[in-house]
Amino acid sequence: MTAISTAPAQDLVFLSEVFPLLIARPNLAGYEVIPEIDQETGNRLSFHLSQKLEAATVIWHERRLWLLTPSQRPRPTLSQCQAALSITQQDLPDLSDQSLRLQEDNAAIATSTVLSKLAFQILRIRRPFRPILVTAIAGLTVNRKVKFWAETIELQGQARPALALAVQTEIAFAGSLADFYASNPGSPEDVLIGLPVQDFDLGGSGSIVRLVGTLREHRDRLLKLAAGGATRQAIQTAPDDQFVVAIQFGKGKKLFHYPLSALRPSITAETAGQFGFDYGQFLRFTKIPHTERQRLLRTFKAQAMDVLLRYGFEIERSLNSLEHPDLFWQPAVPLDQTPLLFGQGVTGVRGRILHGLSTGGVYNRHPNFHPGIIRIAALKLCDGSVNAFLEAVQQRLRRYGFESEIIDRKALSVADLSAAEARAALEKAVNKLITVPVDIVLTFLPQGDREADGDDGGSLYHLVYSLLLRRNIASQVIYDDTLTGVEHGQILNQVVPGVLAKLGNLPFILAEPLEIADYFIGLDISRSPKVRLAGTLNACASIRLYGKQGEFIRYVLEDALLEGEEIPQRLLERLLPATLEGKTVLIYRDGRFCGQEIPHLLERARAIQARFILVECRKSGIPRLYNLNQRTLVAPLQGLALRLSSREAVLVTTQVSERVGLARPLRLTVHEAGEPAPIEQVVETTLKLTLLHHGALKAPRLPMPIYGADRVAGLRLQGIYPSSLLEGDRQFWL
Amino acid sequence: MGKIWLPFASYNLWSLFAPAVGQERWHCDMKRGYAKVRKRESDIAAILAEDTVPQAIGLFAQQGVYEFHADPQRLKDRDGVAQVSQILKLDQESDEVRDRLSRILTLYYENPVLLKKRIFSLSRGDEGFPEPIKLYLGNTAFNLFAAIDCILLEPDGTLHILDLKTGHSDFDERQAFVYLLAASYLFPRQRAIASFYNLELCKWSEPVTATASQLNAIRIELARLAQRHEMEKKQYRRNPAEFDRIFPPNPGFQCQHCPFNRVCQFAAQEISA
Repeated sequence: MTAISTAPAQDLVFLSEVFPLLIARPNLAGYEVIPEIDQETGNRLSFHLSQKLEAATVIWHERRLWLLTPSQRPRPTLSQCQAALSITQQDLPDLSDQSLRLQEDNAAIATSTVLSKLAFQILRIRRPFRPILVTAIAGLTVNRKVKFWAETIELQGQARPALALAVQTEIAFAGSLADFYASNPGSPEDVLIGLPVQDFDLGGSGSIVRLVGTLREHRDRLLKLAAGGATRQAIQTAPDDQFVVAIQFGKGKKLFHYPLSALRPSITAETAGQFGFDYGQFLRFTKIPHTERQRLLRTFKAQAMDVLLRYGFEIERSLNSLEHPDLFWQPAVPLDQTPLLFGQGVTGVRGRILHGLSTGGVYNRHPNFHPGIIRIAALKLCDGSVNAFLEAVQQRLRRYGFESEIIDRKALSVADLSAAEARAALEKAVNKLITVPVDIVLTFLPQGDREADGDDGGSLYHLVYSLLLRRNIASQVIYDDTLTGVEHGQILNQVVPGVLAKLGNLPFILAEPLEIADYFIGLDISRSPKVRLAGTLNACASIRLYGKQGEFIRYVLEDALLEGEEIPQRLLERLLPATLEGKTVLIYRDGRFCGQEIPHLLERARAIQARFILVECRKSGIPRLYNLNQRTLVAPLQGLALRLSSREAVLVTTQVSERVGLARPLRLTVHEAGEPAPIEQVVETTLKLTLLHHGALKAPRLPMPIYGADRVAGLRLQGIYPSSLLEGDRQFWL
Repeated sequence: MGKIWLPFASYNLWSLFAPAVGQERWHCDMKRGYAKVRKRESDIAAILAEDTVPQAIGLFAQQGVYEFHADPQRLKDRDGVAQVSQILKLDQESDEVRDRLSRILTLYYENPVLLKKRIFSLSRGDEGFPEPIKLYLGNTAFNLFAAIDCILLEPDGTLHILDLKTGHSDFDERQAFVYLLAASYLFPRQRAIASFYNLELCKWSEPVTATASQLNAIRIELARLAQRHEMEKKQYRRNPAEFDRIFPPNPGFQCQHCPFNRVCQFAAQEISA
């Protein structure tokens, strides 16, 4: 990266939530399982064995069970382990008829990954952390909790085990799901199916898929299966007529059975409404001030230390730039000074986009407006006049070199309508409005819609967006409170560049080409269960192509019925055409590469003699970074990065005020199967690609090739837009 | 000297590019591919040559109305419907066509909605392509084809463009807008409205009017469609193997009603439960 290793300064130190672990002489044994078992089975066995073997903790990693015993205790013998395995198998019906045998593997070397996973498993099973109550309102409690996971870190060329500790806020239902169900009478199917829930033992989140029966029928079977203490107790003590439900955790295919009292409703911003709670009233409690965060991290670290020490683990100070200056970077040129290119060769920077557009116009004009005017329709659902604003929009477009015409305008009053009536009236109005085709519809919504359910349920915003997308018409929503409370010029500053981009123009690109590759591609796949075929999925993959200066070229979507999350070979062939022959292409995957994607990509690369740098970009389970200013945590600088290894880094791409929260970094991993690339250069490239969001004056968290990709494919899965939109050159997702 | 060939647009082409509002899920671009770029292939040509029942009924109904007004005495004669049926040679048609036309002609005979109107023009429906109207977008020209069934003169001098319908489909207002755009060029100094009349349901639509801005928007849309259509034709000629990429299929329930389902490899097959 043309980045600088930061010289430690007295007043500015960088910190992370990654804590290296030390373990001098681990009391450790490795076992092979014969015959070989798959990872999912290995993970399940290790979890149950950790319960059965009391003090010892077990993980599954690379075809071995690893067993760590506290330093001062004798290790379980092979026969004790074998006996525990046999008992565990009896409790797991699908494994009970297999003859599994353990074979000690003295030659196996525990890698840092094994050690960090063991530390994680100890904390997961022994649960030393205690949530800290912030407040309780209306049957809900707001707690601060720790989130932790295993990390590895490369220090002086050596991989070291580490642990990430992060603070998060949890809003929890005060009782169990049984309590919730008792106070919400109705048919059990209607009340329970689809509810998002958590189990008390591990806090795993899932949703209820179906009713299994009552405890009277299933108690004995469930008692054999139960691993966690809370679940076991619930099974033992709940009444006979309590329902047993099947839960699907995450994307797993396996269903797990629980009685209602072993679960609790999972309350999040997305799900609170399902339980009849107003999440808005809890929002202010979810913001954790930096000082509190600092105190909590110390507390949780101490709690982790209590249990890990027994196994011989020491937790070091979190990675910081005083001790490891070589691990932290910032771009040599501040991100907001990166030169951008507008029309007519005019250059500018992110903070001066409007000036760039005024002086040079857009970098590239869509053929529709070459010549041609922008056809605008306006739909008003709020009080007050919008004529002056529409006039201002036209003037601003003219300033950037575009003529426009207001084709039609409609007013619709929804104040006295129910939500369903309002949606029906809006649909009718939109359909009428777009009979005469326009390029963009400006919709003025009442501010109450901001609080409406943001997904496919209730918001007028979402309804307008999807109705217009079906017709290949761009959409721009402006809320009433913005219109009345913000000066028109300010609104236009935010809105107009995005409008131009949604219409297929490119307002600006990077002024200097990125060195790492000739093309940049974003890959994503969205899935949704097929309604009529249980266990199968509809999937839609999206690919976007960008040029050497970050210029958007086109996108392609592919529908396919896929098992898992693979991107089909056919799609790769469609989008990775001969134009990429002999080129270097950096491919961002939103999340991890799955299944056969890597072999498919490499095969394609060979076929067209191209070089593919494969980069995974993950958004969750990432340690946060901080600045430390006079011993106090403060928000990290945009562009701050932590090098975890020569192939992996954590990168802060956004600047967030403390009032809003704390920046959530990205994790970038250069996949070893692809072309090698210096992680520093990948970090710098990723940062620069966040600058190219044309729909907002603030740079987004994700680089543009994968920004909003889940939304694009997801909308297709909902049947929201037609097959004619499966390929295109307009960034309608902005 | 021959005419210079130009890209073209029409309501029909527009409907092949984009369905009526609300019908998006049933829209299939591949249908346009068959109808427009593969129409000379023998099996496709054979399908296109088949007058489907609804099309035949629409055409005969239009001709029936024309014949009634060609000699308005037929609307007074007791055997007026029989006379027109004979002119149209309905006895040579299938039972379904004959029965439905008999009902349509009877309904019109009983309620001849155009009788007291000033008819400016009324077409028989089988005159072939109308004269194209040359339109421009910037420096680019294209031909607009608009086959207008009937133009009436309202008492205040307004031109009333009327499209006669049969069947039970909803009126697609876009067709009215295309006619109004055509009228704005053909009769630039006259105010115009457009409406639909369904001969089977005896139902008038609300009259459709258009502002200058709306007509401009329609003109731009048709110009873009004409260009897009030219581009996709060229793409297909260059690489016929790319047919399903240029005209992406949208298989589903709608395949049952698609005339090309027997030649389309993507057509969703009905699975009996």
